[in-house]
Order: sequence, then structure tokens, then C-alpha cells
Amino acid sequence: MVLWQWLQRVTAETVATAAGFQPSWRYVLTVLLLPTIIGLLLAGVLGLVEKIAGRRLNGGSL
Amino acid sequence: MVELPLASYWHRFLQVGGPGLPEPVAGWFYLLQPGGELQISLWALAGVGLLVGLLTGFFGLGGSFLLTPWLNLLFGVPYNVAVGTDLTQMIGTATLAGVRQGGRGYIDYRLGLLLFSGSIIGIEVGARILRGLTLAGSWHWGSWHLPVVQAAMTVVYGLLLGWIGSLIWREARTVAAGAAPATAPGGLAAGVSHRLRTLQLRPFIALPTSGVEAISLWVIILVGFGSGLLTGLLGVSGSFIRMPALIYVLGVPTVVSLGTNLFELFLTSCYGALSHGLKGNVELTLVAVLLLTTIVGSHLGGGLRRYHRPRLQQAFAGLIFLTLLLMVGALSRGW
Repeated sequence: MVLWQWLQRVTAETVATAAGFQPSWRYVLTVLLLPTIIGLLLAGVLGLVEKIAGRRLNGGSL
Repeated sequence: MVELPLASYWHRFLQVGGPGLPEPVAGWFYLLQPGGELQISLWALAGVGLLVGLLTGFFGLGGSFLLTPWLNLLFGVPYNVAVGTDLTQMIGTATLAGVRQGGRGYIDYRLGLLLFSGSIIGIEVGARILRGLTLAGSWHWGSWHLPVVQAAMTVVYGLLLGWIGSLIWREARTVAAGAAPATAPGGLAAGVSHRLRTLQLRPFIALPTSGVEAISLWVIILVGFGSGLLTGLLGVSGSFIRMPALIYVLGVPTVVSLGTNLFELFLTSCYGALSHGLKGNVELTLVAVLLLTTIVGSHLGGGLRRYHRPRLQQAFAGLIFLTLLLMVGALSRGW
């Protein structure tokens, strides 16, 4: 919930300017880091699930 | 219902100069207010993300080329934001695939970086075309108005979906008839592949990791440019162009092409996300929800692959054609 509100705020900040859309460094950094961190976390979770299940899970290529 | 700040900003922008919406527009899973505020159903978004992931895991393809038009059609997200968001979540997919692939497969870093040099140009050209279409405003007829970007992207995506849908349909029909699906390109594609592979245009370079003795540098850059253009303009990974090109045009062994494609996917999605982010096309909350749900869905779908049948693949092609029809139908509604 905290992360959600933070993401909403960072995005809203970029369009709350008189000049229209103005990307802040926080927004640009989040664009690059957010999916990377989620990808790494999910890799860890899936690895853990595989260890418990004792078999490899297959996903498709998105 | 949650509001999307960036998508709302672009809706306001696209309504400038027009009569504006006289009353709220309720779409499949969204509500567009007269002032341009776009509210979407979070549960529906999670459900669609899960479904896209499920289809991708089950059929082995379908993630981004369905997600972008569905974001526009079902949630009213302007195409520029749908493309930028879809591309950004691909960083997470590439990261996950890279970590899980680990030491398996080989990466030709030299080839990957050369491809990337062409992809950067392609992505930037694609992203700028999309920006140009977005800034071109809207067409107005009385109280009806249609953004130029909406019309143009419906045509481009319509062609892409029509092509992919027909390929899937034909392959399912071939398998249902008991024949093996084609593994190498034939007809025009085979001719083009051969011409590119034997192109005598200096400088030539060797790719020792891939076992390629000499190939024109321009061919590699062209392949990178082509897939990058699709990535920047449509938000798709470009793998469906890059993988056959690596194998049949450049002559890269399949095991190396898999790793190199993943390496290239990570680089292009990072650059594409940066480029689209700087242009205001990435809705961060959408990225978080879609990335989580599509990845979970793709692993659920992967577990169901043993139930794969040609009939289901034909139904998948039907879903793609249905999306195409709904997109064309939505054009007449305007915004």
C-alpha cells in the first residue's frame, strides 16, 4: 500500500507542473529500478517455490 | 477504481482543441471523466494481467502484442502510455528470465552489443514516431473526436495482430492435420534471409562465439534496427523478429541465439523504458501490477502445457482476431 501510494505520488508529480510533463530524477530512476527489483524478487520467490515443490516451473516468454 | 495520473494527463492533452466529453465515458473496465481523469478497475487489471500471462505460458507467446492493445481497448489507456508501460515491465521479465536461466545457454556478447547499436536507433525512431502521432492531436467532427495516435496505432496493431493470428491459425491447422509445423522460413522470407546472409557489403566481421566466419556488419545493425523499431513503436519485445533473424539470417546456433536474444531483450527494454519514461509514457502503478500478475500467470500457464491441443491454439488465434475486430469497432466510438 505504501509502495502503491509512493508510485502514484512520483507519477503525479511529473504532470503537476505548469510546463506539462516534466520527468523528475526520482521518476526516471523508478522506471528503471522498479521492474528490475520486482523481477529479482520474483526470481527469488520462484526459486524458493521450486525448492519446496521439488520441480522446475516453466513460464513463457513475455 | 484507481486514477492513473499520467494516462489522465494524456487524455486531457488529447482533448485540447475539441469539444471535450459532455459526460463521463464508461468503457469495459474504465471510467473517463469529462475533465480527462481516467479511472480503472484494479481487480480487472490484475485479472487481465493474469490472463495474458496464462496465455503466454500456455502457448509460448502472446505477452506484449496482446497486452498493449488490451490496455487501450479494455482500460482506455492512451496508446503511448500503453506502449511505454508494456515496454518497462519487460525489464522485469528479462531480469527474471536472465536470473533463472543462470549459466544455461550461451551469450554472444559481441553480437548482442552490435545488435543493440542498431536497436537504439530503431527504438528511438519508433518512440519518436509514437510521440509525433500523440502530439498530432485529434480529428474532430462535431461532438465526435478521434486522436490521431489512436487511429494510426489501431491500423499498425491491426496489421500485426492479423499477421500473427493467421500464422498461429495456420500452424494449428497443420498440426491438427498430422503434419509437422514448418521450422524454417519458406517463400519470400527464405529469399530475403538468403539475400541478407550473402550480402557483400563491407565491413565484414567474425562472430567466433556463434561460429560465424564473416557477415556484413550492416546486416546485424539492420536486424537490430528492425526489432528496435517494433519495440519503440509498439512496445513488443521484437523477439519474434530477432530470433528467426539470428538463426536463419545470421546463422547463429539456436542455443546461442536464445541467450543472446535474452541479453539483447534486457538492453533494449532498459533503453526503451528510459526513452519512453523521458517522454512521459510510463505509468508506474500499471508496471507493478502487470509485472506481478503476468509473471504469476505465465508460470501457471506453463504448468498447464500438457493440455495443449491444436483446437485451443485455433481458439487463441480466434481471440487475437476478436481483439482486432473490437479495436476497429472502438474507432467508430472515438473518445
